[in-house]
Amino acid sequence: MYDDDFTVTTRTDTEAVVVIASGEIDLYTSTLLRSQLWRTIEETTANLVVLDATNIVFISSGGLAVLVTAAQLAEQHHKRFRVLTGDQRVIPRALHIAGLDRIVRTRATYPEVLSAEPPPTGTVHPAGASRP
Amino acid sequence: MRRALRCWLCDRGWPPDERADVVLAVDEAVTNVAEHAYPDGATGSASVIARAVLTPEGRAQLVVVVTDHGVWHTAGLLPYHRPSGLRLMRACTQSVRIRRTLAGTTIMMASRPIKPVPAPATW
Repeated sequence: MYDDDFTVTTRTDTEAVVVIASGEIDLYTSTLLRSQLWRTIEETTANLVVLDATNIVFISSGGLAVLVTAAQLAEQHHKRFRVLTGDQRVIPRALHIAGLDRIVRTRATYPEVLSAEPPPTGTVHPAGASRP
Repeated sequence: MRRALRCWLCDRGWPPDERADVVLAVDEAVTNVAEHAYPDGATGSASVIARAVLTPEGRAQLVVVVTDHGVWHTAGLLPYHRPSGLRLMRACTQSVRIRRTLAGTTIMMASRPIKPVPAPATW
C-alpha cells in the first residue's frame, strides 16, 4: 500500500515478521499502517513483530496511537512488538514527549531487536545487547 | 501543508530539528481543528498563517496561528488512547495559546527562537 508520502510492506525473517514503513505517519497514513500492523500481528506465527521505522521522517499523535494499540494487540496475542528506529529520532522523541516510551519499545538496530534479554526501560541501550 | 511549511522554513535557514518541531506542532494543531471542530461528515474551514519574526534579541522565531470556525470539543473521547496533540504542541514550541469562542477556536503558537540568520530579501 502506498500514499504519496507513505509506503508500507511486510517481509518475514526466520526470527520475526517485519513491517517496513517509510515516509510520514499522520492521521491519514496511520490508518494504512494500522491495518497492516493489525493483520500482521493477528496472522503471523512469529513471536516477534517488528516495525522497521528507520525511514520514517514524521509521526504525529495519530501515528503514536497506532503504535500504542499495536503494542497492546501484540501483548494480547502473546507476541513481542518492537519498533526499529535506526538513526531517526522522530519516533523515540515523540514517544518520550508523550510519555509512551515504556509502552512502545524502540531499538536502534536489528540485533538489539532480536536480543532475547528483558528489554530496558523502552529507550535505546546498546550496552549489554548481544550481537550475532 | 507540511511539505510547504518545511520548504518555507528551510528557505529561511531553519535547522532540521527545530523545523521538525514546528511542522509537528502545526500538524497537531490542524489535526485538532479537523477532528474536534467539526462533526463527522461536516465540512468546515481552517486557516494556517505563519510569520517569521525577529525577537528583540535578534533571534528568529516563527509565529503560527491556526484558526477554525467550529466548536471545540474536549479531548475526553479520543479514540485509541491517542496521546494529546496539545502535549506534543507544547513540547515542540515556546508557547501555545488557545482561545475558544462561540465562533470558533484559534491556536497561536510561537516556536523556540533560533540563532539569527541573514535576512533574505523576501523575509
